[in-house]
Amino acid sequence: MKANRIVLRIVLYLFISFLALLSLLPFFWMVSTSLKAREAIYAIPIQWIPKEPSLEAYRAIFHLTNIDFVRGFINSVFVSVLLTLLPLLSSAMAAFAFAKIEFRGKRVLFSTFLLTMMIPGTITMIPNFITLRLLGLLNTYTALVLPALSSSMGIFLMRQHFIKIQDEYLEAAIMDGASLYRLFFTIVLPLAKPVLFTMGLFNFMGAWNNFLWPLIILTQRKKWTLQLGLANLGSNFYNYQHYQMAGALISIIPIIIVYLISQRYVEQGLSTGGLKA
Amino acid sequence: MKRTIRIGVAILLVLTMVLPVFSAGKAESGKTTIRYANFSAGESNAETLRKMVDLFEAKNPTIKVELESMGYGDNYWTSLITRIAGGDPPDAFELNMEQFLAFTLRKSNRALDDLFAKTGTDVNLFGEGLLDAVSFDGKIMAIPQSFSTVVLVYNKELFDRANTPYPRADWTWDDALQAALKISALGKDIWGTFNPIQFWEFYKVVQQNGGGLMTPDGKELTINTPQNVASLEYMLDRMWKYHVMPTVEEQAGRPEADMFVDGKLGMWLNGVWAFTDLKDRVKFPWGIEMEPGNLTKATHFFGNVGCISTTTKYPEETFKFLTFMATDPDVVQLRLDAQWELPTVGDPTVMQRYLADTPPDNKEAVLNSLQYAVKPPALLQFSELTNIVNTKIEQARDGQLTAKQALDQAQAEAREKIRL
Amino acid sequence: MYIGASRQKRVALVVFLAPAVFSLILFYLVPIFSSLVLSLLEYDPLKPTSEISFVGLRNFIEYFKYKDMRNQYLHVLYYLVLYIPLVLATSMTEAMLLNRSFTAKAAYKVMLYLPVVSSWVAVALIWRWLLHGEYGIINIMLRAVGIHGPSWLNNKQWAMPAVVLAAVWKDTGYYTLIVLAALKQIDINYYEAARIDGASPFKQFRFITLPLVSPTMFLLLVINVIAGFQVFESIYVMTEGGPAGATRVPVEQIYRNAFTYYKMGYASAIAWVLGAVIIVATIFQFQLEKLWVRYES
Repeated sequence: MKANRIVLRIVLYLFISFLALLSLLPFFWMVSTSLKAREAIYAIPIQWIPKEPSLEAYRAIFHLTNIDFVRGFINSVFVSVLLTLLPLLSSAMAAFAFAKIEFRGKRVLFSTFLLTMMIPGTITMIPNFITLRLLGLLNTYTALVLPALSSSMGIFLMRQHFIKIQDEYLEAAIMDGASLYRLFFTIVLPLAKPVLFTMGLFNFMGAWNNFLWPLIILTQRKKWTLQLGLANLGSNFYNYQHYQMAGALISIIPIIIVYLISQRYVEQGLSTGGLKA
Repeated sequence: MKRTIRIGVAILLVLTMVLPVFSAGKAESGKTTIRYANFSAGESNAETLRKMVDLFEAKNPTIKVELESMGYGDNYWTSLITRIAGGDPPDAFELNMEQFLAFTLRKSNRALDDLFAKTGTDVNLFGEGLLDAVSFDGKIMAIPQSFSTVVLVYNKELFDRANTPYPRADWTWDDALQAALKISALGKDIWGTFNPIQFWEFYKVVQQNGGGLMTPDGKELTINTPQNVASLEYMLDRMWKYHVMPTVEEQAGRPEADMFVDGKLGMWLNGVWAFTDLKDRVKFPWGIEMEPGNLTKATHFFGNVGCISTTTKYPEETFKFLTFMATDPDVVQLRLDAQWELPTVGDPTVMQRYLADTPPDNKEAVLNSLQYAVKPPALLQFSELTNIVNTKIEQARDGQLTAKQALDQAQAEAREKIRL
Repeated sequence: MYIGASRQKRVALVVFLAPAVFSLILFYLVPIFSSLVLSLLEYDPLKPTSEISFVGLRNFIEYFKYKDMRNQYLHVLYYLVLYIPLVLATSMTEAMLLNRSFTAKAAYKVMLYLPVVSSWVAVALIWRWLLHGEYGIINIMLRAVGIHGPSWLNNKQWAMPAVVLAAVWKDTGYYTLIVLAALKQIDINYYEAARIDGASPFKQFRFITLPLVSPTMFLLLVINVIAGFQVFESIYVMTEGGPAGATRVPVEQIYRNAFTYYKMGYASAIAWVLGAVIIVATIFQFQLEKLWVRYES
């Protein structure tokens, strides 16, 4: 009996380790390739660990004239922070209204938000481009932010959390003369930290990794985000895989750091989302 | 505590939103800044471009040029058109001959005759026929900046080993094929030739065989005429029948340039823009010659031109800049030194200097090719036509369709979608 | 909580809702209608407004006559048929493994989730290199066991499966967490009872786990079909629709026609056809729901 258990345990560990290895192997190879000189990447037999590590790729990609990686990085940081905080704020505000305030048409409005989650993005892409062009907002970061303010998933998740806050608590504060704004900022938001972190991470991830929409909207190289620069690197330096891998690594590290810091909250937030049918 | 954080974040946000406005490049007092979007420098000639611009700024201290260089590719055209449509175009932008009409018809570039007159610039500065190529409706619409042709590059060592004579100016498809067969026989991963199978090659090769993509008046598409089918079949036969050219599988992701440098290709069709790279990397003796024809010769002519945006605030300064970049003798010398395509000036001594700069020898082939130059089809929907025909050609290349099927389908689709 | 007729409170309400609602209307609701209108026009945004013309259903007719249209839908179906079973199987497997307690579980969870947080651009470049015909490690490892792997992304048969492989690698972790949450909600007594009754692990899986997880699986299926029909980014960076159009999908067509050729009317028509297909597929799935999804009573 006990032996059985131990064997089972070992098999479990082996299996899960195998899967983890599969997950990590491409990353490892990415790092390895990025530290090689050009001839070395094509060397056979393959070198898992570079025999002569070289920073050639990193030096090169920061000195390209057509792709400004440093600028792209800064732009990405800027845009991602914007696209994390602003939609978070607007969703939280709307979620609060849905959770705690009665008003006519609340149900209809909320359902509308939910329904938009089902709209294929490809339908809204073109009209939004035209709208933003008419508003003169092409090639601006504002154009990236505006459509994100109605993040339905954020509204949904946060409403779930806000509903749980006891009415009496809030009503007492109102009795004490608190305005709704005060209520929101000093009571409601602090109580929602887990879901704020979850949605914040989610927003950041989406913003940092976003490719298609920025590709369409940002037409000037100096406004380009990191992903656009990376894609450009991939096509203009098709056969310089070490450059590509170096660029990929640089683009992945920040998001991994952000993820590791906040990953405690991810699962929490997802399960409270309530996927029980 | 939380409130202070919140306020702090809000202030930070506002600041970060406002900052870019300031970082957008303050014009120094008294200087005009013009922006020039371009693609042809790429990475290899980025430094040369920078030196050229520095020369201009030195001679024109009141003008500052902001370079917006992007690599060649879909993105350049898309973002350029979008910026023009969005009302924020660069003052000057580079186009190639294929896209020239698409932009001119969209009225994105302004006519230059008045600027020529105003500044007293002599139209004869430019090589013969070049200004005609960039004229539309009787007006000059751009400044030719550089041009290039495509030639046959060959590995002399492989030719010697195969004991077969070097290519000559009067070669036909047959001569090339014979040489290729002998070279391919040298080894398993050695190939006689590499002639890309795609749209740009196609529209030229069909003309070597007496065909063409459109009727001479440009009113009808003639993609699937029997001669064109025969031409495509010849292109495909090199791979599938005679095995003198690697299939996509056999190429296994290796770029042709690398294969040539590694001594695996006997002959290779490429543009003169590749000379910069080849000069540095090739370790064996190599040469160039005019591309072989069949019924007639037909060679590529690619030109890059500089346009001035219709809405620029500084037309005169921009004109000065573009003309300088094309005709100033020091700039021309920089271009020659870097072997960065060919200058568009009409001065014959410039060409002498170009010819004298070897390797490779026989630079005359480059200039002689000009006699047989065919221009890419010029139409508003150039990108679309390219895509339609190219997809079908590639499907033929990969063995999915026969040559006839591919061209028939391309013709049918293009007929529907392209309006001439 | 009832907010009375107090004007202050009503103004506050509007303020709270304004940004989200503004964005909703302008960027989601209005576009549904305007894209429908667009699909009936010939609209090149860079030509003067005088050149916009009403063409009725011509865009749709042109699209249906387009020979490659059928192929593109076939490609996307090929993608779905390969991707969905694989990703559901892998996430289910991982979830079941993670459902047990063992040391360093948190670390494993992080490792499995790393591909999810990376951007598709980065992942596409990494996998393009892994799948390189000559020097990619996949082919090198295959060669070590005597198999001559194809030049994956240049091979018309293997290009799509290769993309699917990369997608499964990237997305599994995400679905694993969702399935795991569902697994955790299954009452452990069910398993106890089954064990006492002598049911084998397989039987337990088939009669307890699967049915109780089916609502979640259903949701994942619906989401994946909707997302799968719109797959684009991964393919665009990995193959650009190649080789020779073997991985062309409808969204690529929309993007190309809208932003490279600037035929926005035509592109909108294509978008609507795709949208209709997705809606039909979703409704179809909801009809099938009754057949295989079990809800706890």
